Amino acid sequence: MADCRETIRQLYSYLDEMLEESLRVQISTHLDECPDCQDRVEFEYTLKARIRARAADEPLPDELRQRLLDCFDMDIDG
Amino acid sequence: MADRRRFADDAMPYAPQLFGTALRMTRNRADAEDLVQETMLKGFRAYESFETGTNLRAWLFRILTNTFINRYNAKKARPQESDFGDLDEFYLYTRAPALARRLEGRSAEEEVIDLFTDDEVKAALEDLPEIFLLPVLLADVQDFSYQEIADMLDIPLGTVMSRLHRGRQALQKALVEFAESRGLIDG
Ligand SMILES: [Zn+2]
Repeated sequence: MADCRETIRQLYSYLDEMLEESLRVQISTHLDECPDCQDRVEFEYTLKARIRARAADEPLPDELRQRLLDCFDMDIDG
Repeated sequence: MADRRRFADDAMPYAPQLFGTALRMTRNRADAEDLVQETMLKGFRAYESFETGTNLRAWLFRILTNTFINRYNAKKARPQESDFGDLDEFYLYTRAPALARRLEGRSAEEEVIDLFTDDEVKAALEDLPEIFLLPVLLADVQDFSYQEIADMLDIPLGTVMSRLHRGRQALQKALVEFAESRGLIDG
């Protein structure tokens, strides 16, 4: 059975689904019983999701798109 | 073996993600455009060596990452890891109650992140020291696995993990500093 300290230590690995099964189960059991740790997990999880949503991709400028397509064409002929 | 003539159709859907990552890496539009162009051209020329059925997105990001490291890297001085000093766990979380009070009833500590503008989130990412920047961008923004990142950066899995964890703390610290400078919390 994991305690708060162990849960906090493993929290990122838990979030990233990188724990081996027996440890994952221990952490998840602790989370079911500990609102404090659960709060932290949810906070970090949400933070990660929001950062992704805001920074994942950027609209490709039209002239860059054209530049890329042109250089494939040129390269295949040349 | 992949057919070069199919490259544009196969690879162009990933261009916006590559461009977004390139912008965070180079912190400069012109450099980001050049980096994406160089990545795509290298991919196009090497497409025959791409094994059909394997992960094209990871393959393209590997080219992007290596091109960045070899070429753009030295150009811009980034903050050093040592500039961050001691980082604590849950930098943002422990300060969230103070921030959450600013949400005026919308409460939910999870919404604390909504206090930050897109530009602040991007700037916090871009200002990370490079050894943190790449793992954070690849894992948290682009959702690659630790193993994929270890392969891309040619570093051990444990190193990916420790840099990613420290990088997240550094990112949170940067966000807290934005909050302090806007007077959202006491410095
Ligand atoms: Zn606990």
